[in-house]
Amino acid sequence: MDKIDSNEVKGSGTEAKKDSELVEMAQNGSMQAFEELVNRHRDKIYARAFSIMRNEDGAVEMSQLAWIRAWQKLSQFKGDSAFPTWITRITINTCLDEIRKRKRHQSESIEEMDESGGVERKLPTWEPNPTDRLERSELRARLDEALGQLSETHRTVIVLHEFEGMEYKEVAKAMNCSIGTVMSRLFYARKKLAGLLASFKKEFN
Amino acid sequence: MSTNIDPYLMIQSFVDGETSPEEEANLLSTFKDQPGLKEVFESLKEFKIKLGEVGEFSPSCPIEHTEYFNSIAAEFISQASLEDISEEDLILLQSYVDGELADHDTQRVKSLISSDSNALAFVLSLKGQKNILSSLEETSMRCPEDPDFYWSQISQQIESESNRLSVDEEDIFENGFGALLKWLSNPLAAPALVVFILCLFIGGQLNNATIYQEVQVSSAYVDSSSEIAVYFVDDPTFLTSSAY
Repeated sequence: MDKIDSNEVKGSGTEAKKDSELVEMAQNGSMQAFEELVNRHRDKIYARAFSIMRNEDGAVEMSQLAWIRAWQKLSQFKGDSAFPTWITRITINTCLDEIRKRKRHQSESIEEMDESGGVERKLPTWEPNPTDRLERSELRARLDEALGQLSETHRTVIVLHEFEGMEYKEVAKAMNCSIGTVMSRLFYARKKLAGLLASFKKEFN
Repeated sequence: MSTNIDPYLMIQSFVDGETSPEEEANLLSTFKDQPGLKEVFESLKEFKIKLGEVGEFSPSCPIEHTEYFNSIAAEFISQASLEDISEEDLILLQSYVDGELADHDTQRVKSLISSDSNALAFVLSLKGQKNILSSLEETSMRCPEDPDFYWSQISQQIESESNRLSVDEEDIFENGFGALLKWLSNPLAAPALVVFILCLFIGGQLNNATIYQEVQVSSAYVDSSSEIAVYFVDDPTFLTSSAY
């Protein structure tokens, strides 16, 4: 690891630089440049960690850990993707590692949770457009609540596919499972989400 | 958009707000010309009434457009049931909405959507959920931690890790190869090393059996006065004679 440049003075113009320039400076050991990257993308990274962890403390901790890992792996960043994309993936992996660790303690594997790849025979009634007539702010709150009530596996598959825009195969790789399992988990996650939102709608009405 | 385009793609474009008023008019005429779709959309009471209003919505407002479409499709979807759709088809329909459908399944899904109102309802429902998720995801969330404190914790951890790695490197230096290099940097090391190598060389010569073979030992005796001096002279019987 390069020596940290502690002589750099805060506010010496890193704010105006592009991410790629800051990354290069950070790769050469500039903590100031890295700090600027953290400042720029802190909220996004926190939001992504929160979407998976669903609690503030956990999201802060995981996002900070992701930044530390990013610093350690900075030399491996070649600019094939945008820096926010790269650090977001590190954040997701950090969160998934934490979830796996917790599951191990509970003698339960994230790969074995919920469905094993199949789809159950009996399908409950699908509740379509459950959020119809909800105000946007209300919808935001309800959706957050609904995501919070999903299992970590279901929430993660929704986050990776819907929010991160990952393809099935990418989700499968991230979650260490088969594509078939991803499809099944996604189906059940959506069904569960629709059901939760539907119940909120009934309360709302 | 031509009237021959895949009906579902047209619906998808419509939902995404990517159709112009002219294209939407074409879309509506296509619905009427396609028996399967016509049957599906005829079941939409509100949809039939409000079809004429579609042109008033600007393509630049995709969310409003989507919500509008969802609202008029809600009744249709609410009457749908998934119970008659096979597991395999549900997953295929989901893959279609997600843009993950394999080429060889495309025709099957298209056929399903245009012939089964429940399948179309499922697709529209999934599409609606995706739209809701994507539109709400844009809402920014702020990290509750004070920025300076947040960064200070990160930087402290990084420096701590950096120091730990440095200590580890020092340990390796001191306990391994680095220790030898450090010792060599001592001014006395070079002479000591030369002596050490000479000792090895001389020791090797003294202990080398091939050299012994070249010494034609024939006889020896101990000088009684010093008790240390041994003399060797040629004597072929030295190694075998019992006299010694």
